[in-house]
Amino acid sequence: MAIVELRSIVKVFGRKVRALDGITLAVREGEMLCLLGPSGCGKTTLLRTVAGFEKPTAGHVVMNGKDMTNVPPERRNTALVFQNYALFPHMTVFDNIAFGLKVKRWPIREIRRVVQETLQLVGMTSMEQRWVQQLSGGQQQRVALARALVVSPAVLLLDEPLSNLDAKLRVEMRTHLKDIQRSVGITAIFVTHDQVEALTMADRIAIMHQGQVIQVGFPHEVYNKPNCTFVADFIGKSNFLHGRIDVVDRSEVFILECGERVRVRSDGRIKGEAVLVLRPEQLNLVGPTVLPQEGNVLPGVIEHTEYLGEMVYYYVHLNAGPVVMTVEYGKPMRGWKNGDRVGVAWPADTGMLLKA
Amino acid sequence: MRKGRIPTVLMVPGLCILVLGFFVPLILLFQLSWYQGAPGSGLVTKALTTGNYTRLLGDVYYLKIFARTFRIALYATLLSFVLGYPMAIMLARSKGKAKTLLFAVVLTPLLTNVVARTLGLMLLLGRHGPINNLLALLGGFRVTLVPNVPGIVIGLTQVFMPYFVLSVSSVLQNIDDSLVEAARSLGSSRFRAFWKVVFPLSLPGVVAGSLFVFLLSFSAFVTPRILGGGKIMVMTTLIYQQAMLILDWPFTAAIGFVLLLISLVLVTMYTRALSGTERRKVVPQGHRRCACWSRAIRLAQDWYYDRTAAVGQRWGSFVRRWEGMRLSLHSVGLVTRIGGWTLKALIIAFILAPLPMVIICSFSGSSLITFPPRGGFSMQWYAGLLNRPEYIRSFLLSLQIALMCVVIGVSTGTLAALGLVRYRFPGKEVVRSLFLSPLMVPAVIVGIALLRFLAMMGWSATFGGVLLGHMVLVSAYVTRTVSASLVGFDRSLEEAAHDLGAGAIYTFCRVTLPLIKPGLIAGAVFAFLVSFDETTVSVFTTGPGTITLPVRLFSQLEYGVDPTITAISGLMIVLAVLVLLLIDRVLGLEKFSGMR
Repeated sequence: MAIVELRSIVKVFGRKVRALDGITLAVREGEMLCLLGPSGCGKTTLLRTVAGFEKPTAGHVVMNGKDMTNVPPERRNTALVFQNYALFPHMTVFDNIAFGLKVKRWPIREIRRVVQETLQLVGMTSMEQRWVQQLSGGQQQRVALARALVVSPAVLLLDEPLSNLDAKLRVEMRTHLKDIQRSVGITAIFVTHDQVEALTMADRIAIMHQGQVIQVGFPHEVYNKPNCTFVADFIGKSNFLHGRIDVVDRSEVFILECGERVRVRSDGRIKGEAVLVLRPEQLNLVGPTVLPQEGNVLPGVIEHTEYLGEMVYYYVHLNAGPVVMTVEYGKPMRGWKNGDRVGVAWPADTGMLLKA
Repeated sequence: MRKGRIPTVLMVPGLCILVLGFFVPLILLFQLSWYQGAPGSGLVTKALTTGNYTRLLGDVYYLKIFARTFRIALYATLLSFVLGYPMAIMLARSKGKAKTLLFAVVLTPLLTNVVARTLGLMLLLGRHGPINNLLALLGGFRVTLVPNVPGIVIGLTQVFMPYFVLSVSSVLQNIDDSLVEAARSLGSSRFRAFWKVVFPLSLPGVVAGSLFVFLLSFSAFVTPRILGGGKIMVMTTLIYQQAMLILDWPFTAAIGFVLLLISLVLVTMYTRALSGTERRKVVPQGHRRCACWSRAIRLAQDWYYDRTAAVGQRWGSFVRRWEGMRLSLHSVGLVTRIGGWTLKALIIAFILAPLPMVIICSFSGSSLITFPPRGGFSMQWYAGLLNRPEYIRSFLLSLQIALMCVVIGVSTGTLAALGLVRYRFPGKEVVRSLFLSPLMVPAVIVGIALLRFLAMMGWSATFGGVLLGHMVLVSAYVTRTVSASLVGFDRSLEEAAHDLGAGAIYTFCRVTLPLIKPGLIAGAVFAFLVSFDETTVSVFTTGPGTITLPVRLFSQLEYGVDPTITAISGLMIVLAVLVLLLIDRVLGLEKFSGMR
């Protein structure tokens, strides 16, 4: 079922730079996998390794059961959509898209038919005789996509497909790309550093950091059950409360650095030093005198507010020390102001405990 | 940019030199071509006649010379392409130290004196030189490469190919690597990716480079003269013969102007081609053609593709069967790689070969110039230089003129460049062309025009006359080089200085000048080299008492090869290498080659 399998891929540049440090990953048929991570984490190197432009120092790239590690890019069944599109400037749109088919020596009539179909798929019909320089950014991207799709690769590879587009186009293309991928049913791997793109487009996300895959999972898994502080910090917004787990009266309690105790739900696996991760939407602001019943409340002062139209972010400086971020959506908004004394409340069973 | 105000003060010094040393002589020469000359006596009858032109363009003998010149230039251009393109690819792909080294290889022929280089070629290609010796060993025959057309073609290629290489490699560098990767990602082999993507995009550079090489080969004088042994006649050597030996001045002038016309046509084509390379994104003219015409072309292309596709399918499946055997693919790759390296090594050897030959021969113990040298190692020729006061005099003269050219050339050239870049006034483009025109005119024509003019003014074979000729060329080079570096200058830096209270002159000295220093240094280096190595114009303008070093070498080579020449040539080669090192230290070779 796995179209692409990466087995213990290691890539070292020069003598010291370990761009990829033992990556093992499988991409399932028909899925859109996202490689997400900050700059320099190795995601583009990994993508290029799948494409064949980087030869791994160790490990294997297996496609459909065959070991392709030593196979050059032109003989792999992959197609790469480049970040800068890499459209051939001396060819028309038609010639660009037809390029891969001409390499395969398809008859001209077949080529014309298939190119027309693909142009329709990406929404660029009637543009086939245009020169590349006459196209806008969004149009160029669609031609680059068409050019890759038309050769029917086993895996479609996309290098930061949306990063060269303006904000509005990005939102448009997000859905467009996903629709095309789903309708064609093609397996795809794309690389991005934008977690919004990852969450909206991917079937599964692989988060990378310093050459390793930290966590792989469905978007909701990665969001709600991060396996370490890096992932919790990278995806969405998180508040981190440091402390340690202790057993008091045979139930586990989380003791914050300042000494305050909060109730947590623990599965017993983490002991000692730990971090309690709370997302802004899990925290509620209540009046300063409200006492906890089932949950936790920590008192604090609102330090800073950010009004974003559909929501407001509040930055609360807890008496316990740290500054946490909470959010309020929609109406009615309580309209807290800077300087208000509040209590930050959350139910005891929300939040994630992670190793420090 | 200041509008309207014509910067006369800035332009006047440069224009004076140009008018005196270039325009007036040329106009006089043109006038001369309509008079009647007398072969053998040098007398000119001031009666207007078209006889010179009709004779030149009507007589088969002269038409054959045109054809020969054209053919030689064409062969040199083709050879430059064949050898230069792989070199350009190598240069474009290299990085760091390798790149600097390759630039050095490419630039060395340009910086070495033409006579020294040609001597090396004579040694290399001679009937008893290494190439013929190898042929004799392997095949038992010898080929007369010099004096003969092949020798001239090889000599011209050797000299001018670097220009082709630089032109093409700068265009190649601007081609994004991701285009080749995109092609490969779509299934194209490395070769196909090159042929269908890189090569078409490099064509503007190829066209510009080829035109430039053709133009230079067409107007070359020293190389055809020496390597043709005086027997192979091309247009430039014809001019020399008519001017210096037959003394038919009006006829000479006519030939000169026909040559000038051809050169101007080539220069115009070249300038157009050059603007094609400077556009970063190639904008094809396709969308401007009428729809039916481009449709016809497409149909033809598609028909051709369909025919070859069927063949290609069969070839493809054949190759695939081969590829099943992993070993063969690997070894094919290895063979291609070794072949590639050998080719590149050979091309580099071709460019550099004559130079070490000269140096090796200069240490020969015998008085016969052969390669390999006989008679053991000896410094006698170098020591002998000290006993040849005429060589030392020539050297000092050349040095003196070169230094004066640097000082005068850099000052007038910089002023002119400032005027051309920073001011906008009516007729600016015309003035710019005027300043750069000496570069577009074959040196032979400058030479004969000046010779005639100096004779008229009574300044023949004087120091001033020779200096004037050098100055004309030098100021054009410097103007161009400094203009190039001024164009990229950030004016807001000067504005910031003014804003902080600095006056115009203070700003110029403390802000502008230090920042255009690289351009000025490049200009100074050019000025020195152009003057020190200048041969063609000097051949016509020097006389007893004012013989510059290159001219003395040139004459010596014509009469018979005195081994002392090898010593001097060796020294000039060393000089060129030292200059190269200096440029690299101060400017960086890559930057320098972009300014030529």
